[in-house]
Amino acid sequence: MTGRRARPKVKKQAAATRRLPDPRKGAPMKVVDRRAEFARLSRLTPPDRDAERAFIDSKLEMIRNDPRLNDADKARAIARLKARNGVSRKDEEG
Amino acid sequence: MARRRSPGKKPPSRNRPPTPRPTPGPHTLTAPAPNAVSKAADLSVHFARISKKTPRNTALEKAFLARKLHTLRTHPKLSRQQRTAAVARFSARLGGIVKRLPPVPGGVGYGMFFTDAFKTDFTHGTGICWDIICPNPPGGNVDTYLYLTATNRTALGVEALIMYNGQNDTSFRVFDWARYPAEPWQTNIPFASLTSYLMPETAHGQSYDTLMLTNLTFKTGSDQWRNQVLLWNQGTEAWELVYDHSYAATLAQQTGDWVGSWGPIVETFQDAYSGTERMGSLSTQMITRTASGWGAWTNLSGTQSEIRTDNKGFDVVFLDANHNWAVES
Repeated sequence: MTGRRARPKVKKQAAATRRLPDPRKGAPMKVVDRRAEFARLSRLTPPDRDAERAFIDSKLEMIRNDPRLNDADKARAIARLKARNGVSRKDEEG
Repeated sequence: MARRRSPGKKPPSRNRPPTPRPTPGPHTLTAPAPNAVSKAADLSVHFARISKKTPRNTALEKAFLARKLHTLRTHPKLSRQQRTAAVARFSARLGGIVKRLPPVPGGVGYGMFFTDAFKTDFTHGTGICWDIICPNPPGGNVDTYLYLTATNRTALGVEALIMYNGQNDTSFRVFDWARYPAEPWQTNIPFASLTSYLMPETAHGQSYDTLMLTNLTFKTGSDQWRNQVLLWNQGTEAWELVYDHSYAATLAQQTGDWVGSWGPIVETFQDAYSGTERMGSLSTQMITRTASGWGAWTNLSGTQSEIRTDNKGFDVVFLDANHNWAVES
């Protein structure tokens, strides 16, 4: 990410984001596409299964300790998270 | 407890005969009731004998002590100095067992949760832009994971986060909830590679290293949605799209879940923190897209969000409700 850069391409935004304002200035947002570079860099790092497991475990703990939820809400949220099996599964259910 | 059974009555039928019950002698105690003295049977030996027969659960006993220590370390009514003194006194009483106590996992060190009304107040898209105050290393006693993360209100959006793992392993990650559980982890960039994305920002007279990012989820067609993550490159002064994913989902799926309920938070993995550098969020802005297009970015307000802290040892350095804040421990 540091040092010299190839000429970045300005990505044509999909219709939905074309009128997205820049949070810094309010003018229409101009975006440079760096997806390929970030994907390539990400592939260099081997997956850390412990870290990945910890991410979901932590979310379950956040639900258990959420002071805004009652016991039934917590049980429902935990069950939903545990049962969640990606969008395709949800689509089948929905 | 001290009720007597009449001598002629048969004992209840059981497979095992009950522990012989001693004849309690009269024992005079000062009564709790005012101006009175009551008599009580002394069954302490009997109870001690039964207790000895029950196998010890050392894990449970340690968890009990760990919880007490955690309560002290994170007591919301004590100042940091008072907490430190109380923990030192209690630890001294516990002795060597302190080192073997298990951590209390999971939690929110500090941060914002969206109100129920605001969480679901979008139909075609939502986004969050925030400048993450992300020191590196995190300092203090961080010796496992710690996240600086946020959602944009959607249940199938992404978390674009700073992940600390101890003092020497910091990275920028993207976890895409739309791809969970098959392949949710999509981006993993070592912090050292983010130099040109970091920028100094001043808040309340202090300069902080921040990473500005935008996290969007928006509808692209009938039941078609897209997640995007953009980073502000301070070096080139441009927004850069670093992650993008399209998928099928309904609005009900995007709004009807606990996932998506948190804005910027410090997500914790230890029972108590001390000595950490300042962390937090500056200029947290939200945007909503309706059928007619994107609205305007507005600061996250106190009516759109509420503060959650699980008392993990973090103290508020400043709070501009609720778009600017920093904590330290």
